[in-house]
Amino acid sequence: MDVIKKVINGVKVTYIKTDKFKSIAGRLHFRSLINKEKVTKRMLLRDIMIDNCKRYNTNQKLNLNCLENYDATYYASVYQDGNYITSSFTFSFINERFIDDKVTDSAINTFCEIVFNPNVNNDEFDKKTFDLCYKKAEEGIKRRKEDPDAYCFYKLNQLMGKDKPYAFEADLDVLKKQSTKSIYDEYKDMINDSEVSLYLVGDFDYESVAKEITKHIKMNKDYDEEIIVNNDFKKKMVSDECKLNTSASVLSVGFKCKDLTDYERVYVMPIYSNILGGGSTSRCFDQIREKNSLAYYAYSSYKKVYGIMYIYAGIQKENKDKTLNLMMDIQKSMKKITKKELDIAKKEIDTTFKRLSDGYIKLLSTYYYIDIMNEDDIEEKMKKFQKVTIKEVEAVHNKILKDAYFFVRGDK
Amino acid sequence: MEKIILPKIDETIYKEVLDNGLTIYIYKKPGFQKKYAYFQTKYGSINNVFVPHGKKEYRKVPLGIAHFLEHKLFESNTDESIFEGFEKDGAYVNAATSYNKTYYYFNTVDNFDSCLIRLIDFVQSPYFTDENVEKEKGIINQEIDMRDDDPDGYLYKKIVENALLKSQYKYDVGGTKQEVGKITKEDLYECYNTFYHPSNMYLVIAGDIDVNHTINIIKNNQSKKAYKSTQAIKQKTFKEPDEVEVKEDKKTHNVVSKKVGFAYKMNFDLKTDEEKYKFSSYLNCFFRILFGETSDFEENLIKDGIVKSYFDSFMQRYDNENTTYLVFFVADSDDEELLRKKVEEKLKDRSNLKKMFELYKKLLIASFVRKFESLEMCVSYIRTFGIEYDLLDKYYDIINKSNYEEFIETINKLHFDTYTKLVLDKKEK
Repeated sequence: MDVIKKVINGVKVTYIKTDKFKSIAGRLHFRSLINKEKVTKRMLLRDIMIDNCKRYNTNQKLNLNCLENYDATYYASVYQDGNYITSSFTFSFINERFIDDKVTDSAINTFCEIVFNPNVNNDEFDKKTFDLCYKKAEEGIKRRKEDPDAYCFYKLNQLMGKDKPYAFEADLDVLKKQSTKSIYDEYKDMINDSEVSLYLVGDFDYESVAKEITKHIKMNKDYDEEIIVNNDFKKKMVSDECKLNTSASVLSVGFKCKDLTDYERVYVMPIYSNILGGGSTSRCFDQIREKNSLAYYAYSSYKKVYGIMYIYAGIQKENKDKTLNLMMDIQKSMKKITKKELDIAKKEIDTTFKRLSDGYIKLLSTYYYIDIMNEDDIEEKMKKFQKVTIKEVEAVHNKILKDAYFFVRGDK
Repeated sequence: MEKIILPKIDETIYKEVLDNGLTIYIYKKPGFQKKYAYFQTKYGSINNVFVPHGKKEYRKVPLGIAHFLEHKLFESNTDESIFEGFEKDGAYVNAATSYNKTYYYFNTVDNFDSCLIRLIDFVQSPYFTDENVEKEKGIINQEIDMRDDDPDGYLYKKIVENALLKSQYKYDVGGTKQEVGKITKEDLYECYNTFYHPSNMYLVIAGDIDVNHTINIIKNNQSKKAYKSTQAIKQKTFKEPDEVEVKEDKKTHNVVSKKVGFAYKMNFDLKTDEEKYKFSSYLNCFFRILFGETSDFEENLIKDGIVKSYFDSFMQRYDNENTTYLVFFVADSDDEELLRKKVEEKLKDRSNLKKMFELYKKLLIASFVRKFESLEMCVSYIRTFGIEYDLLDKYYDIINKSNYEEFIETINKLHFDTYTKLVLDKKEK
C-alpha cells in the first residue's frame, strides 16, 4: 500500500494506492468552524444534497443512475470534531476490472453533480425536496427519546457544558428557522468558506479522478483554530434524570480531563479508558456485569478532542445507586493498574491499528484524521503506544475529574 | 481437500470434512491483516422440540435456551476468563444466536493459531454449574429488556408472534423472562450434547493464512477428543397454517408518534435450496422495485400526510415443513387503514418492471463482487451459501441467469389476502 500526497487544483489530495479491494472510493471534505446553529443547518443541507441534484432532480432518478453504474454508492455525512464541523461526501463503485461495463467516468460525473450542481433555482433549494427533508429531520429530532442510550448521552452532554461543541446537536428551534434560501446560503458557506481536502483509495488513475473533482473548487481556506476544546470545571458533580417508557434504564457518568499534555491526551488516556471500560476484560465489564450481574453492557469511552470520558451501563432502575457507587469506586481504583492490564490494553490498541488497512472506508477516515489532528503517522503512533508506562497511566488518573451523571429511568 | 472456484472474480474457497464430521471452509485472502474464524452449530432458537442425544422421547426445552447456552459457553473453569485469553492475544471474541444457528467467532491480526485452538477448545468444553446458570439470568433479562425497548425491534418481534401459529420462528431468539427462569444446567448439557457434536458444526476461516497448516492443526486438535458416534438429530417439524394468530393488535411503547406495522403472510411449497433462494431473490427484487430507493412511494406518502417521516418494507422467509413468507410494512402513520390501502394499490402495479428488473440484476452482480473485498462479508457469504444453502459455487450463475420470465412467474404466485397489523402508541399520561 502506497500513500501519495499531492496538491491538485489547490486542493490537498491523498491517494491510498492498493489493489486489495474490488471497489474504488473517495471522500471530499469541507471543514469549517463549528457553532450551534451550523449543526442543524449542515444536517439538513446533507439530507437535501444527497436526496437529488439538478441533473437527477428526484431521488428516484438519482438512485436509478446509481443502479446503472452497478450500485455506485454516494452518501453525505456531517462530523463534529472539537471546534470544527465537516461536511463530507463519499462515493464508491466497483472497479471496472470486475464487471463488463465502463462506469468510472459516469460514477465520478454523478458525484460532481451531487456536490457541485445541487437542485437550486433562483438561489433557493428545490421546495419539494426541502419540505421532505425538513419533515424527516423534524421527526428524527423528536425521535431522539426513542433511543435511551443516545438520549442519556445527549442529556449528559448538556449537563457537562451546554455551550460546548460536544453538546451541540440538531435542534428543533434552529430547524424551524430554516428555509430553502437559508439552506442555500449554508451551501454557499460550505463551498466558499471551507478547508477542502480529497482522499481516494483503490487501484485506478487517481490523478484524472482528482482533477475532475477538484476543478470545481474555487475557494479553499486554511483554518488555524485549535481543534481541541477547552473545558470548564465544576466544583461539585451535578446530576439529573428523566423517565422514559422503557424497561431498561441507562446510567452515564461524565468526567473531564484537566491539564493533559499532548502526549497524555493522545497516548496515555486511550490506554487509561481501555483498562477502565474498553472491553470484556476491563474493570467496568468485569465488576458491573460479570461479578455483580448489574448490566448487560458496561463500558467507558474517551473523546480526546473534547477532553471528556464517560462510563455507562444499561441497568435495571432499582440498581441505580448500587451501580453509580460501583462506577465511582471503579474509577477511583484506577490510581493503581497492573502490568497485565496495561499489556492487554496495548495489545488491543495495536491490533486496532493493524486492522485499519483492511477496509477502504476506514482508510479514508484514518488518513483524514491523522491530517486534521496533526498527529504522528500510524507507524509512529503504534510505537509510542507500546512505550506508555504504568506510572504514566497512574499519573493521568489525578487529572480526571468527575463532572456529572445522567440517569434515564425506565418506567415501563 | 475440495477446491471451490468462484467464477468471474477468480476466488477460491477450500473445503474439508474431518473424520468426526466437522466441516471446515477456508478462504485465503492475501494482503489482509485480519484473520477470522467462526465456529458454528446448526442450532438456534427454533430447534426447540427434539430427541436428546442418547434418549428416545421428544422433549420441549424452554424458549431462549440456545441463546442462554451461547452465553454460558463463555464460562471457564480456570482462573483465566475466556475473554482474557483472547484479549491477551490481541483478538476480539464474541458470539451470537439466531433462529437457526449459534456461532462463536474471533478476529485477530496476530497469534491466529493459538486463538483458533482457544476458540475450538472453549466451545468444546462446556462448564455449567447451578450457580453460574443462576447468575446469568439477570444479565439475560437485562438483554431482553434492552431489546424490547427498541420500538422497531419490538414491532418486528410482536408482528412475527402475531402472524405465526405453529412455526418455532414465532418466538423471539432470546425467549421470555419466564422461560429463561426455568433453564437448568441439566437442560443446557442436554441441548449441548445433542447439537454441538462436530458433525453438526462448521468452522469458517478467512484471511491471509496457510490453508494446509491450518487444516492440520484443527485435525490434530480434534484427534485428541473422543466423541460418541454421530446420531442423526430428530427434530419435530411444523406445518405453518395459512391464517394468522392475531389479526389486529395495539401496544403502548416508548414512541414519540404512533408507529404502525403490518405483514402479509403467504405459504409456499418450495423444495430445493436453489428454488428457495431464487424465489426469495425474485421477491426481494419485486418489493424493492415497488417500495425501495427507486420508487417514489415513500415520498408521496409523506407529501400526502399519510406518514410523518418514514416508510419501510422488507420480507422474511421462515422454513417450516412448508415455506412461509412475511412481507412487512412499517411507518409512522396516524392513518394505518389508508396506508394499508395505498400499499395494496401499489402491490398491483406492474408498470416498468422489465427495465427495473434488468437494473436490479446489475445490483446483484455488484453485491456479489463486493462480498470478496471484505473478510466479514466473505465469511457471511460462506455461512449463507455454503452452510445454510448448498450453493457456494452456483450463486453467481444463478444471479447471472436469472430472467424476467421467471421473475414474472414468481411474482404472479403472490397473494395479499392474509395480514396482521400492530399499532404502537404512546403511553397515555
